[in-house]
Amino acid sequence: MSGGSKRLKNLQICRPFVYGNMAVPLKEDRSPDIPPDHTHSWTVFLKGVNGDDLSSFVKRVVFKLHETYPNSSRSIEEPPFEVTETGWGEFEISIRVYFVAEASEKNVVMYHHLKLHPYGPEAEQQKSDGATVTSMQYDEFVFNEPTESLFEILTKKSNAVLPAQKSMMVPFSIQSENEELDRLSDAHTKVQENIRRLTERIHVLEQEKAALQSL
Amino acid sequence: MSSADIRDMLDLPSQVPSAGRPPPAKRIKTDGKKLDGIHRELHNLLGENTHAVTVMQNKFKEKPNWMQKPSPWVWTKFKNQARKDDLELYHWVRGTPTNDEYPFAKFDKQVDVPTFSKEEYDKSLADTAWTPRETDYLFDLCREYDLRWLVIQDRYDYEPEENEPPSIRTLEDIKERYYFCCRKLMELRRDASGVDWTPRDLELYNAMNFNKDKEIMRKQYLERLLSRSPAEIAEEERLILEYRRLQESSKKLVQDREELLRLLESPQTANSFTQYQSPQGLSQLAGNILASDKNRRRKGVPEPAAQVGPVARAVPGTPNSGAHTQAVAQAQQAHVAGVQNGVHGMKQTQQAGRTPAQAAPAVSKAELAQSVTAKKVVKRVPPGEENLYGISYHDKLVQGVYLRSTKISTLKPTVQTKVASILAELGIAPKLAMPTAKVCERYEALQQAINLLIETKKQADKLDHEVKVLTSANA
Repeated sequence: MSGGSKRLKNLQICRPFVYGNMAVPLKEDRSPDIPPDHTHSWTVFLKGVNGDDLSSFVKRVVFKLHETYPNSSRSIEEPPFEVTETGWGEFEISIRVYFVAEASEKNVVMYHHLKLHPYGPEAEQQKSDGATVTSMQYDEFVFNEPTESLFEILTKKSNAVLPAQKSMMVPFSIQSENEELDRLSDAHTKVQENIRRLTERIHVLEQEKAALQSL
Repeated sequence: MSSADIRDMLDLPSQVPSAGRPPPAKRIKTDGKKLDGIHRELHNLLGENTHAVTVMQNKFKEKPNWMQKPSPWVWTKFKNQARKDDLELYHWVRGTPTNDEYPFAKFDKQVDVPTFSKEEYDKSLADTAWTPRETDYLFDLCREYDLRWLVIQDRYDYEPEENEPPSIRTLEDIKERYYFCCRKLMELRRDASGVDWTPRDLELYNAMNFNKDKEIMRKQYLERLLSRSPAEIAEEERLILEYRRLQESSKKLVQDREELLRLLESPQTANSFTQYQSPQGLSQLAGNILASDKNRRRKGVPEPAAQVGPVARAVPGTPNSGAHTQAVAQAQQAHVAGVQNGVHGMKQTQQAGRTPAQAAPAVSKAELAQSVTAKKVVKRVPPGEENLYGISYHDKLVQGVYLRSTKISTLKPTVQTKVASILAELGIAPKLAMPTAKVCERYEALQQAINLLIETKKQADKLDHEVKVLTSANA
């Protein structure tokens, strides 16, 4: 393996991943060492799409929870990069991702609002069901001019591919991507249409103005 | 209080019946020194304490210590040995007169004015302007007045004989004559006796080297110097200062020039570089660099990049034709390749040889090296899988890692709100559900389009307003 801390110029490589949380209301038969005011058990996580293993290029992930939690800064060095806790309130968790040494990159941070209570159009239904609440976000790590070693790591397995279809477990897929693309394209066309109409109108108005001015 | 007093007070009988014995006399302490007058009074006043500092005044001097015994003074006759006549004078002498040498006789020093015989005169001292008689007269005067020239010149009153012209002698004239005669005499006597001069004689001879004209000029200079007015003195001082300043500035100029020349001339090239100015020379130079580099690599010495650098850079400075720069680029490439990977040296050189042909001539070393390695690495990844791995190429990349969601461009806050409202109208959420590369691109495009829409709407409204104004004005 040729050691490379040299950076590959003009090269950009990206890796998709997912982060977020799942929350489940606590039942009556819960262990006694949970404080009585905690209502939910939740898990905040950072994982790859399609069951992808991020630990090839992610060294560790630090989840910073609310200060009231003991050891509020949880450092996870091994996959799965997740933290499970119980609580009653929703707060912002900062997720700091440190990359492996070969990458020679600094850490990136993202923020996630912990969701415990159902939201959206089916909130009422979900509440009564006691269903699991999930809140996830898709994002991608974009490496500009990666080092040689990082490049090799990232190109070893083909797992930047998104699954074709949406499913319960994997809400992000090519399908959803396409949906988004379509939405954006539609919006774009609408805007273009409006622009065209406006430019026409501008022409008309200019002519009018010229006519009036020449009077 | 003594016991006797107490018994007396209390009317008690005395303890010891010794009335006969007188009480022991009281002892008075006496000081060592006798104190007179005021000191005694003070002492009595102060009691046993004497004052701290006593001022002792010696009202009388101590008795002087005479070494000699007293002896009478005698009015004595004496002779001065320095005198030529037998004059006898008197003076007081202490004690018995001894008739020793008069103590002041030894101060009668004479100058050695030489005497000469007639033969000597005729031999070498003869002069047209001076008669022997006058010369003798002069010498006598010198002897008389101890060679004090001013006195001699003042007393000089030679009475010439009838057939001689009257003699008007200046100080320089007589000096000159005297010294001339003395020197001639010295020479004559040395030649006659055969004994060479001692160093002291030589000194004397050289000292008597009298130059009349020079002396006259010197005296004139001194005269002039003395008779300067204060204004003249000041001006002279000024001129001297100015002159010194000019000297210094010129010296400084010369120094600066020297330094500049030194600066320009360094670094010194051992050999001339003209041999490298032709294409063959260039290729030769490239070969030399390669060879020396290989040698250094074999020896395991860290390559002195700095050394090669200036040479490689200096070479392009020479006449700049396309062929030359191409050769230079190749030389650089070869060097770069050699530096990077000793093992893969050959392969790299070949690859490197190919790339400059495509790339532009003026490309920096690092960039080319990087593109070489990038292309080598990327060749392993089949082109179709680029999408799979999310690889893309861009011209300008800022090094580093980021989240794609963070790189959505932002506009000015006021504009941003309008854009956001339009997006909401269109049914697009402000936060992207799936920020992949394609999605982000589209989103960017959409934002730009919306921006454009806002601009056009603004312009349309403005025109509308203007038209309305004009119509109302016309109406």
